[in-house]
Amino acid sequence: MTRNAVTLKKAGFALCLTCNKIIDVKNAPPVGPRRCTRCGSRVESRIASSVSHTWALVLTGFFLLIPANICPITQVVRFGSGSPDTIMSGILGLIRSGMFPIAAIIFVASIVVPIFKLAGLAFLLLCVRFQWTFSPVHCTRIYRFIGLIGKWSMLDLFMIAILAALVDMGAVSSVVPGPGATAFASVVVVTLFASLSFDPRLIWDLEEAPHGRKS
Amino acid sequence: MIHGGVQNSEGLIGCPDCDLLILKTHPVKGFSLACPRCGAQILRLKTDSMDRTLAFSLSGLFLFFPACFLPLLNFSVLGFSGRCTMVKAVIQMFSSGYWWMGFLVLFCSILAPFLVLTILFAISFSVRAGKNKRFVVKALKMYHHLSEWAMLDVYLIGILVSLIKMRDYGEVISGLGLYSFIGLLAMVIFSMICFDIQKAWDVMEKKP
Repeated sequence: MTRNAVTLKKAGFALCLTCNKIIDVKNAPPVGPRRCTRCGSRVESRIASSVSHTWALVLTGFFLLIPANICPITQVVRFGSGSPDTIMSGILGLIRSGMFPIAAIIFVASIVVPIFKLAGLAFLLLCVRFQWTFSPVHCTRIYRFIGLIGKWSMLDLFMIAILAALVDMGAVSSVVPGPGATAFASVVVVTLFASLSFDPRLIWDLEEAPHGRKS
Repeated sequence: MIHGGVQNSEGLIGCPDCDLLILKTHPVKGFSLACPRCGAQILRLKTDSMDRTLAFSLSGLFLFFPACFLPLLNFSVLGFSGRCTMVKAVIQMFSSGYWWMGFLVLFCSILAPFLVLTILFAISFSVRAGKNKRFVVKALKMYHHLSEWAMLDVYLIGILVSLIKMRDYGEVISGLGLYSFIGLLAMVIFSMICFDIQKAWDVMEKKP
């Protein structure tokens, strides 16, 4: 059934992703890119160079994960002496002091979520590249899930900002961000843009294309 | 699902996730229309969308300034005390030289929620008044791009985790700002849920 499905592309239409209006794209526009007749946004049947943009952002994300996890993300100063903490050592510290639920929340938000997002997008990109027709319904669900969890990796950054403002007593006790925070902030932004630049309709195009032939 | 040739797009809707062309049907109140192929939620009828959005966004804007400037948490240890407001959290980042992270925190916790509330208020007001079509189109486009960056729900969890974490080091008391913040978060979520963006677009197309 899915192979014979009528898509907008086959019918000569394209959907405006900003306002969801169906635009007729059978005739080429006289000048410049095609614009939506309702909202004026650029309309394309598929997001132009979605695959290469997403690859670039996903790879950038993977590389940024290295400094984000190696460099200290916070520095807690107590009575003049500071102890820098990376993401992982912060979590281990919380476990040592018995705060398991918090350690679990931070572990999921700062380690599981970014890695899952990057790995998930890389998997979807590989599906598109090598034409793996691995259940498109599940692939679309993975894509939606990536979009859903994306913002939760900001949790650690918000916490650092809150703690830095709350514990600000100079040499007695203060929390200062570390260079890892900048790298981690970049990971979050890059992964958010990566999931925005991926076009899930590419997964469904694989259904239409016969196997073993590049379309 | 549609088979055969399609001439014009009247009475059709498209799935943004899988590009399927679907015959437009009117969903029953309380139910949403999902794409038969990929399951994406496509249409959902919302009752009194513009009135409710107007009410919630206006209440949100009233709560915005107390939530930003009143202390969220008060912390005291060994006679020293500190307080944290949303604005101070941003200033602290900038003053310690982490401007990139500071900008991100400023944007996701203050600018984006404020703009989302303002835009929703302006749109629902203008749609009801039936004026300023060009402005509403611009505002709807801005809302489309901004709504993802408002992360007050994540921020709330951040506040709660910091509260529990710092209890081991000293006394932490929630401030008046925290209650305003929770109210603000509820108003942002409610106004975004009630807002029927498709209806707003349709209204914009019909009015000359």
